Amino acid sequence: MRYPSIAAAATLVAALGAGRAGAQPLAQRVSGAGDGRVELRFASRPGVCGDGHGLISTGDQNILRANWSAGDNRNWRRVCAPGPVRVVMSTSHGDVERLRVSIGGTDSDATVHDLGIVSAPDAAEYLLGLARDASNAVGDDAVLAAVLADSTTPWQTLLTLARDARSRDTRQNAAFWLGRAAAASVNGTRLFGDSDAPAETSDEEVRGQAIFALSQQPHNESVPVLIQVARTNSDPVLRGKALFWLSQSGDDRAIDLFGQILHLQR
Amino acid sequence: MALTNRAARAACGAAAAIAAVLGAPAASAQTIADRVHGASGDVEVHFAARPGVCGNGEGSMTFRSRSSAEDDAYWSHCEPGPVRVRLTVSNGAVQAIHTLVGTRHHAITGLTDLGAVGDRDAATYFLSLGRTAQLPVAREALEPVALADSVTVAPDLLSLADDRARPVEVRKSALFWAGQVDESDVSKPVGRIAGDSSEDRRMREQAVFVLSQLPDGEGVPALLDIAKTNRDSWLAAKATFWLGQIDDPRASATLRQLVTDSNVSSDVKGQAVFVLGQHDSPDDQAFLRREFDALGTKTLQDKVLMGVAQHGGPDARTWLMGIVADSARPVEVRKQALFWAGQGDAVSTSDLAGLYDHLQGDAMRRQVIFVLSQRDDSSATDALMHIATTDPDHELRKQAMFWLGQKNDPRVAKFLAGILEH
Repeated sequence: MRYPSIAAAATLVAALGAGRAGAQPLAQRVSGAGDGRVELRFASRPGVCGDGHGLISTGDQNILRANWSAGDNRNWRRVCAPGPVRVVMSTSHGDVERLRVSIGGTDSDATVHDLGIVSAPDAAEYLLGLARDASNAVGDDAVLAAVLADSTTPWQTLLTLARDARSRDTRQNAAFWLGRAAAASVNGTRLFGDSDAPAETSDEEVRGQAIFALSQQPHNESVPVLIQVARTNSDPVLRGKALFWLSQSGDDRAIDLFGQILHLQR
Repeated sequence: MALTNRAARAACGAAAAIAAVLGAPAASAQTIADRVHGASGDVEVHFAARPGVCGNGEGSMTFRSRSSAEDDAYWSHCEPGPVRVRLTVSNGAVQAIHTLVGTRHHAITGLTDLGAVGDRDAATYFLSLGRTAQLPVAREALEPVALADSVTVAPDLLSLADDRARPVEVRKSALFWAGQVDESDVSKPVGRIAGDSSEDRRMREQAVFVLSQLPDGEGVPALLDIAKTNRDSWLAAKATFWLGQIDDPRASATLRQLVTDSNVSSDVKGQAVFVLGQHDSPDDQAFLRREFDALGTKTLQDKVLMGVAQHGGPDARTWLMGIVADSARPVEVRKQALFWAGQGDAVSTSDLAGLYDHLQGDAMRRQVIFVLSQRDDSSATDALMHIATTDPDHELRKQAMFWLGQKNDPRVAKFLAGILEH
């Protein structure tokens, strides 16, 4: 099967121990909408903004999820506005073939089946269930949409996805967000919205480059050192960089570390 | 020295005449075309190869007159015939042709041996396929034409090459084999095709190539003329390239002339610089070094730097390092000289490390770091680690670290871990 089935996603949500009464009905509502485009919206985390289309900002990071020309970049800050997470799914024969994420925006046309505002935790659970068996693009965007959802703690499920999701992109994206959450945890910062971090010192730049260079070395030599830096280095900038490159490594020891920092069950 | 095909053919003339008097043992009332037409599946015919041809029986074949002394080992395992042509026949038509020379070969299940055929009959039959069949059969049919003994085929092949009604690939093949058979000097008709601006560009390119392959430098005058005077600079550049591949004093003299002539197009001049740079001749190398400043453009100068660096040797090292150290020159030229010096053996890693300490300016120091990063020896890693630890410029330290990260050296991870411990 190329695409995850909506029914399967509903089953997986239950299997993941969602426990929330609204999750299964959401999967059923999506399934019940039939083939075509289905839209749902839910509250986003504080610090998240977007242009209503493909650009999403989490404060210190901009995420591109659509075509974007360089000339548009001049207007980026001006148009970045807080808003709900908007997910538009294209379904065919019960499978989600495409999934688009944006913040705000009102460009959906009459052909979209609008499910309206839904509970953010319900949406996150549904999307993470969808991501587990999704193809690359769908799983990747489903993870992003779930992480952007307000009032959610997706880390336990992301830990599972980082190890077991069907597509490599989904596993990598899950690991990326676990690394971000772990960095926020060890440094006592917010996950989103810290866009005014102080400039790095020269020493931090050089050591940060050493962390990057180390990440390019064979994992058996680099990962233990990066874990050591992430756990014990006194500089939060360097801890964050070590966690970032660990999140890119695809190494099981990195995933274990994220679970330990975030106090998650294996 | 190996005989040319022409000489070998003259020596064998008497034997061929006797064979003709005795009558070819494979003579048959049926023509080859009849026998092939009546067959089905894979069939094979064989016939005598012209003098100078040899093969290993499994698809590798050469004209001995064109092989060099280094090919002696190959030649000792090479058989002078027969030519064996395998044809795949379906509904009376030839679908594929594969030509071998020699007797050693793997047996093919289901292959029908149609036996020996006359050389002249074979040449006539396969030439007719070249004239009438579709690609790829027509193209492949011309190889056995060129290999057949006791026949003169160059005029027919040239005629086919001139036939614009035939596919270009067939015409190119005909031209190629006309140049290979070494029956007579074909440089004029081949040169005429090269110079004909109404001809297909692919044919003109092929003609230039064929000129470069003619024996005894027969094609050199035509190539010189094209390189120096043809209005189509792309063709002149091709001719220049092939002149560079010929060991002929006329070619070297003309290539130098093209480099210094201000009226020569940049395409041709660039090609002349390139091919001279590939020559091992100390004279050509010295010439390029002398002309470096007069060349004017960065593109041409880059070609000189590349050629000199690849040639190597003490003169090359001294000259390249002189350019690197010359602060009066543009930084980009100095960087390029350093890059090419670093690619070969002209400059040692310790030279590069020493250079880093003496060079002024970030751009040149960055280039040293990059050049060090491209070296595989452990002393290059040592030099990068030294820079990453001691350079007062943190941007240069960062760059050294970046490239260290790309090194496959177990010491690197320990070194980087050490930096992070402090």
